[in-house]
Amino acid sequence: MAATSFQRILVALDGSDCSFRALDFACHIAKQYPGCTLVLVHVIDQRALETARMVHLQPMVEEIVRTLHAAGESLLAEAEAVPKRHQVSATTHLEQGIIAQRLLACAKEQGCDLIVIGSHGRTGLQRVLLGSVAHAVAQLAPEMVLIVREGAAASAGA
Amino acid sequence: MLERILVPIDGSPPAAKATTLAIEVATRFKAEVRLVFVVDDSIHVLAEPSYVQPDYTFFADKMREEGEQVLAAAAKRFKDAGVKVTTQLRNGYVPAEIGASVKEFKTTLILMGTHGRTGWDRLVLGSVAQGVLATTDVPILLVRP
Repeated sequence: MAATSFQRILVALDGSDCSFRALDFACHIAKQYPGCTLVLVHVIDQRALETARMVHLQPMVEEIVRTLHAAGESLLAEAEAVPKRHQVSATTHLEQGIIAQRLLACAKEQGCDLIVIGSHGRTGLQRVLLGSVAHAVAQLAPEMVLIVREGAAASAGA
Repeated sequence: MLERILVPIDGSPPAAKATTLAIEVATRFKAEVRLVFVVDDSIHVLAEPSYVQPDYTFFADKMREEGEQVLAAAAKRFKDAGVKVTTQLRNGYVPAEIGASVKEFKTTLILMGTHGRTGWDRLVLGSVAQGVLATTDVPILLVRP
């Protein structure tokens, strides 16, 4: 059996609880695959910045970008501590762009074989089956995709 | 997190790919596997005598037979690899039956192909995968065709 199934796992992080559950799940998998590395990615949503530009907040955009970068860095620092606790190696990547698009590009650039993502992130409707980002990733990724569900913690405990 | 893996199969090549991965993952995690084959009961539309005159009930029988074969063949692959495996043949609306099976087995991970036997390859997610997402909250690992 090929032992190479999970060598590089991309974990999409947006700070939501669901994304941290996805991170836990990824650590759990990585521990069973010696040499497996987690690729932790946070994408700053370009669309939010475009909106700011459109409504003539251009002078503020730079400041917003700075703030979002700082927030992204601290999120990734917080996330990085999780695999460390599990003695799993990880790299962090702060990106900017259309979220799903950047996640997919990053998975390709980093040679990932699995993408672990929460079903619902920070934006969007909770009642849809899959959030827009998870949906786009599940549709378009050539890699395997593991979707950790909103409410999965509750059902796992049941 | 990965103790009880449910693998829905339909005899398609993507399902075979999911099976191969499931064997590997189950071996690593010493997980128990449940294989499920659902005989799609939309066939009953054909089997309804008032709908079409010839009796098509043999279709359903044929599918059950095929399901048993597909399950037995897949189960053998797991057993040969030393994985604890059980099988289940169900009848009904495929996503709902998979959802029910997921609950019954106290599944912690669903491992399935994005696309099975029916539908368009280019379509977003296969209709069954979408339906399964609607019926359960269990994490789901999707394998590409």
